Amino acid sequence: MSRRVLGPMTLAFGFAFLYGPILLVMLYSFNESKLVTVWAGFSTRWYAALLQNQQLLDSVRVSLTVAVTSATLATILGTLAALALAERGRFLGRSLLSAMIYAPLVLPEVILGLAFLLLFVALGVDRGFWTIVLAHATFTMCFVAVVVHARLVSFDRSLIEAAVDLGAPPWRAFLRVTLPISAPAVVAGFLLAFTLSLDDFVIASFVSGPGATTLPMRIYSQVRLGVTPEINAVSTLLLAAVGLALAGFAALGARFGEASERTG
Amino acid sequence: MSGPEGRGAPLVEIRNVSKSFGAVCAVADVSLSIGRGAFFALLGPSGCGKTTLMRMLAGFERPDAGEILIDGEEMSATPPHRRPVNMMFQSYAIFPHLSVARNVGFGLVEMGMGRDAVATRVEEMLRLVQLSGMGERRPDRLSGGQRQRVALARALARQPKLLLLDEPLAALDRRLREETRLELIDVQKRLGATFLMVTHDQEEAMATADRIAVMRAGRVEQIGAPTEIYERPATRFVAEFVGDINLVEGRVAGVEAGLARIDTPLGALTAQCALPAGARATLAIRPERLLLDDAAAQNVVAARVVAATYLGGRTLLRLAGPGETMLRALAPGAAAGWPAGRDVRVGLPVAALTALAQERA
Repeated sequence: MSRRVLGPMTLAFGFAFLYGPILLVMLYSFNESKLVTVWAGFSTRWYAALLQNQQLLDSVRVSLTVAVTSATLATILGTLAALALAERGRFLGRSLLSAMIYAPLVLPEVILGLAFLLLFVALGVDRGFWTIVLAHATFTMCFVAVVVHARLVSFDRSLIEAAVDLGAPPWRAFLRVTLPISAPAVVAGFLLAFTLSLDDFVIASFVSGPGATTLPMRIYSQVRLGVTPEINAVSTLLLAAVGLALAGFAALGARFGEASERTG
Repeated sequence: MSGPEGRGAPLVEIRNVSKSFGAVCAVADVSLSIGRGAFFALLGPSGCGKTTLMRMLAGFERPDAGEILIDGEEMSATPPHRRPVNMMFQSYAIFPHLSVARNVGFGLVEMGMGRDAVATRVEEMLRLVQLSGMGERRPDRLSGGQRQRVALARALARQPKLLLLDEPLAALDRRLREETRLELIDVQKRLGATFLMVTHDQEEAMATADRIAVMRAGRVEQIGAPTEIYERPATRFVAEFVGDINLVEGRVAGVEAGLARIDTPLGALTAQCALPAGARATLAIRPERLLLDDAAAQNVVAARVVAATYLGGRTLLRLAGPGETMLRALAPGAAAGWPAGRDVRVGLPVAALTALAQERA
């Protein structure tokens, strides 16, 4: 077979392998039949049914609130950590911090979840909404720190010096130069943290308590009783939300990629 | 080294300033002063400490020892944002998220100037650098030359007592560089401002500055007007760093009425020399100052043409003198008159010969 045919075929196979199952979920969310495996025509009735399912809607609300709250916390903390790491001056524990900030990126989630669980139990904290927020903020702030740090080290340090040279005290230079230039990375970090929190199942299931069931947890528990088309519908919506956030992240990434080329 | 220059007290006085980074000594006991209205250049190879010295004037680095006075005021306790100094960065450091006008007005806003006053001043500055009407442009829509002008306008907007220029022309292509150089001089003269430029390009320093400090390994080797630096280099390093030069090693045989006889491989040569008899000396002479086949010349030695390279308008000759000592000479006209092997009588005029002390090891 020629290269011209083989290339696109490989690509198609790769995409099918990665996204086939997901497409199937999306497809069957529009299935008329109640049986998940039998196609009986197009319908949006399961989306309507979804709106009647109070349990599912509650967990959507919990998931979104957790995601927004933890992503906000993670963005503030992660940005501060990135700023500290991007400073050229040395401070005590700097290399330790820069190593530790990457650790949660590669640690197995099961272990992270277990660690949080043990911590909350040891502290005697009642598990629920806030423990999920704290756990999510902690593990996603590392991702924020990495994204923002990459931006901070790639931009010309003389921009900050120029601002100071032009009469701006350091805090004004931060507000007028550092912050606007790194804003795309901060927003991208927020979107990343939001997405990670929204689809986390493992950590949430360790640290959640009564009344704080996130959407992935709800889906998992319902699927154990059998897959309903409603689950397909809510999964499709979740995918759309995550997809939008990731697209936003990618678009911002592309924009600040360009911007740093210009300044560089 | 150099006393006060220009009118009244100098604007900048650097006294015995030293600065080390770890074990590396960047600036070692440098003293110099810059007069008001001067266009001063710090010239030297990379790593000679010129940039560190400039950054200390801006306040980005603190001297380990010594003091820096600007307009009579000691600066060590003054942070960079309160110094009456502005800097044009080598990278230009144009804020990518702000328009040209907002870049130029950045420092004016920090002065607490009102919106209208800022707009007027920005317009004035843009006119000065010939960028009128470009205020709304985004920096990424500017050419290299335009970015340089924006950086200049921005640094001058606050009317600094001293403007620092870090390799201001290095990022421009050759043709644009010459034009921009003239514009820089023009702007400086029109504003009557004091400019301090850092450069590694001796031609740029010669063409732009009215005073040059040549630096090497953290020390100032020589301070003087461009012609002084070129015609009367104080050290062998300056002689070699600035332009092309012939160097001949020798020993002072005797001194008489300010003129020394110096024994060299070329024979005994007469030169103005402050060194005592018996001292080792290096004689330096620029290629264009050698006199070829001139009957009235002094210090004549016999040589032979080894190679001739036509440079357009002039020809560079490589000559072999007595003891196979190589000399470089510039002759007017084409290479045709200088076939290899031709004998030539080379004169080394006393006025053009500089005797340098042997370098410290």
